[in-house]
Amino acid sequence: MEHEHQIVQAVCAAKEDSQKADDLIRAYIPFIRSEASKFLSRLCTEQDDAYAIAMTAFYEAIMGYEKNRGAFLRYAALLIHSRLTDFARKESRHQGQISLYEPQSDEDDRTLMDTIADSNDRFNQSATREATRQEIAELSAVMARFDVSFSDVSDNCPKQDRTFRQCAAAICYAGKDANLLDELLRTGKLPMAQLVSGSGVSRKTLERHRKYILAMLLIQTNGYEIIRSHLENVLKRKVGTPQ
Amino acid sequence: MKYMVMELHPGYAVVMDENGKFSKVANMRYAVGQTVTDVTPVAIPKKTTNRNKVIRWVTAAAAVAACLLMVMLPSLMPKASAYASVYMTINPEVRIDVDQKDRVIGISGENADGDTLISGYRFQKKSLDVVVDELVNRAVSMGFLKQGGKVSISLEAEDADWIAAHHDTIRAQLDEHLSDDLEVEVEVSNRKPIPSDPIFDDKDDKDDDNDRDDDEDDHDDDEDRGDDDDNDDDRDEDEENDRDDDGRDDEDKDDPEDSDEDDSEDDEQENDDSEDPEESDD
Repeated sequence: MEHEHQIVQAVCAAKEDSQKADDLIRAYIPFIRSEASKFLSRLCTEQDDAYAIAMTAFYEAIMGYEKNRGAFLRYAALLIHSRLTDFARKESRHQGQISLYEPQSDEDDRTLMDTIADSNDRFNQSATREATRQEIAELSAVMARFDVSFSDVSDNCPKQDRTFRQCAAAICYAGKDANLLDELLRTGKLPMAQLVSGSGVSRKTLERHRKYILAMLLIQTNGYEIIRSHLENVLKRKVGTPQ
Repeated sequence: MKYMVMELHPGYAVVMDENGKFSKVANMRYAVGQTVTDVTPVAIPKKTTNRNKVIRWVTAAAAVAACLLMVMLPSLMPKASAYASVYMTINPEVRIDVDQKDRVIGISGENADGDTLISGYRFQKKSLDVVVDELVNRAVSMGFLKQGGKVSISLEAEDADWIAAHHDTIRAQLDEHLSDDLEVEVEVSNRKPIPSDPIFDDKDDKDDDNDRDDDEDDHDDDEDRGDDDDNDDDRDEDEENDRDDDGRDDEDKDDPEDSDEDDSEDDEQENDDSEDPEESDD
């Protein structure tokens, strides 16, 4: 009983703090793996997709848990099971396909993958990925100065299409104004008044998605070429729109 | 859609799509900086709000009400079409309501013993004869009816013909039924019908002519729709209609010169009044 109570407390704390959520998940990895293994009827390794899905399901259980949903671990186990079922159904359309990594014959270790000419430039790719990683790390460090993590940004990201477009308009307005971005970096404050007057979006909407707008503005400051090229479509359109 | 992996957590990964939308997805062994195409978004179960609870309660209440209505409906509907009632008095007094086809549509105890006699008895889909016989049997087995006892039957209906027709048949049938087991006195009498009962309103025009009678049957059937037992009268009616149709066909053959227009006219009229031989002769 006491133990159960502790879990509930930990879950409530984890809902507020993503760091605590991560810790809670790490602490319950054995439980998550055992639930995934039960579902697979075999040992679940970290290489299994089911493992990732089960971890996510546990996170969903933390965020979605309420007292009236019963004991937490029961609820988490149930959610893990149903998410794995969903995933298995989704993946079932791939059944009957041959895996590229399947050995071609019993005596030969060569896989189908080895016989296909690799058109991708692996070296270049991994270099790009490394550069991207560095850019993201830099961005993340800058965001940390504002006490914002990507996890916060994703929670703060507008869900509704209309709101998303309004925020995009404000971001686009700021993107064309180099002074605005400089000011943001110098003062460490979001120039909200200028955004409101410049883009015509209501202050309430912008305030509500403050962290998201902050991240998007930071991306448009100097550097972050790769991230910006990922957002090419949006940024190009933004430049094109007369405001 | 391409997603750039921005941040990794044990339970999820934060990705950004090409429109600049951030979302949390399942972390399938991703690495930061990787670009992925197929993601499984995190779906956090919705909170149960008070509004949800209210909706749930209202839905449940509506469902219960609907169920109750469905249960009550069959027992409510047949009462409206009671055509005649038979009162059977031994010591327990029981009222048996029947419709025009002598099907029992309701049964009720007129005194305490009567309630005892009919408790647990299922009259559904049984004819009057069967119900009377079975109730007498029950009375015997429950000790209400003994050797030398007396069974009084009173008939109540606005239709004098119905009473006349059943006066003797019930008596004869009961006599026959009881003769094997025990000697009891059977008495059949008429009760004065309640004149102002709205249930029996449509009775007067019964004997006018076949045509109207038929309509009345239709009406009754509509009211009886809850019952499963309509098959036999449906069949009767079908036979009647068939006969009528045949007659009409013959007539049509007799005068072939008025072919198309008359046919269509006939079709239209077939629904409301099938027999009116004069009309098609025109």
